[in-house]
Amino acid sequence: MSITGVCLLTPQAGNTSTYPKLLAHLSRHFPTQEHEHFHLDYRLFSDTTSQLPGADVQQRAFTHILTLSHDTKHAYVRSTKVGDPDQGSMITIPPSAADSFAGLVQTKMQSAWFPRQTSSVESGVSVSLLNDTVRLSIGDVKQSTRSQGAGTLRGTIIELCKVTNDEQKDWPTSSEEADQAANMLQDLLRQIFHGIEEDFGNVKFTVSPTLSIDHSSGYGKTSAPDWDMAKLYITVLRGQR
Amino acid sequence: MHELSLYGSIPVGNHDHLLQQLAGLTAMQPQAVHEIHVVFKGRQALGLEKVSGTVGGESAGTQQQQQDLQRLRTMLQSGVFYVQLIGSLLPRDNKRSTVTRQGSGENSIGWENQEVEWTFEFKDTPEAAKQSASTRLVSRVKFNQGDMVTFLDMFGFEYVKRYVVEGQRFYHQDTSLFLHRVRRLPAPRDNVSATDISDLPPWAKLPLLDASGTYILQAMVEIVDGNTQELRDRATGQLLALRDTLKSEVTLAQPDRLALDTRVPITRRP
Repeated sequence: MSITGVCLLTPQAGNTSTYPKLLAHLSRHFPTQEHEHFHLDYRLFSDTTSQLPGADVQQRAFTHILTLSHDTKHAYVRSTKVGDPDQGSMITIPPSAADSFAGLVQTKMQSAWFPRQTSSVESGVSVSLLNDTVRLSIGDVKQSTRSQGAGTLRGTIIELCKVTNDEQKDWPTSSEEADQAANMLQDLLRQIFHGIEEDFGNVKFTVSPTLSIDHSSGYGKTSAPDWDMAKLYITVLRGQR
Repeated sequence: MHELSLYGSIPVGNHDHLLQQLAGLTAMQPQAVHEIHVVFKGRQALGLEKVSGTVGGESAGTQQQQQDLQRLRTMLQSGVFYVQLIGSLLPRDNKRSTVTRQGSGENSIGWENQEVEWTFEFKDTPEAAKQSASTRLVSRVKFNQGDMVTFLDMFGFEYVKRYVVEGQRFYHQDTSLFLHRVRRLPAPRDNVSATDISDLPPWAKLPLLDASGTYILQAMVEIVDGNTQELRDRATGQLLALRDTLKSEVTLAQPDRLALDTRVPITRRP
């Protein structure tokens, strides 16, 4: 098993990204580590009824479509309700079908689903560190909405995935342990980016146990669906909705 | 993707002869097909009345708000469809296979240990324009893993019924020829998923939808870009040529468009 944390660093003053600084640090301090391309695509739909004036937002439902470059075999489609985001239902589809499925939802299911946002990381990097026990993936998240158009910077996403030992197999199980795991990952992030101006004081990882890092097919690419990893990304990318 | 189709019906007595003719025409052995179709109905969106009452009213607000409401109204009125989950029973190796040919010529399939690949299928209502072949938008997405029935329920589709399709498939140039008929399936027991096939009666014991045993032949060409007239013309040409080739055996024709309507009828809510 691994413990994985995902967080979104908000843009700095002037809407500039932290990503170039982080990437430069990685290249300088881990020059021998190969940088794998990291990208993701996330689409969020909310139920059309909830867009009506006076609609009860507590009844709002969402459909999320997520593709991750870690996972070349699965794209994830998840439906949730606003009051109960953990009780959603999720399936996997081939990543190559994610665009056409999203197109179908947007056109032929528009009476049910309203497109809220599309977020993507197009040119991130993923790198294995500390003897392949840690996978770090970073990239700038660009967001497009119907009203704002394409390509506004939403922040820099950081995924830190650390292999755990057997005693920590099911860790974390409580909110205290989740905080503990988040702090551990935050310390690890500071250790990796030691010396950089950014102190990651505002970083708050959302954490979950995930599948083991499988290096047989590249930097942590998995063959089985990693439901927990997908839920992590969806939780972070959907924001406070 | 667009699908152009012609359909014909074949009495059970002509089935074997047509099979031979199709095998000769396509220069291939028939590919046996056994599919489970689970039908779901899209739920109608609530709240259309709210929009109807607000647009143009005094409380409509700014012009932008009115435009947004008008767009919502258009979206909510855009129609709700029936969709299907189609499960293909995968052929297994000879040792494990339970597919046997009986004296009656019927295939009997044991359901136990069958592997099923599920595909989500959306079919639009055929286009209204005057054409030589029934043409409609089709979208198929493979559902790999997860609780599909629960997901579809949260996604806005409720289970309606299920049935099975048996038949043979051939390919000729760009045309797929699917000779098939439908059998009824019992409804799933309480607390059992509609995609669970572990407790079904043997295939041969499933009653035919059409008790006469009549088969349907669907000749179909799929084109990726349905907006390209050249592709449509070429696909139509292939279908019409095939219709002429097979005219001594089966009459391939375009069915009534609304007989293939996949829209859920709109009902007024109390």
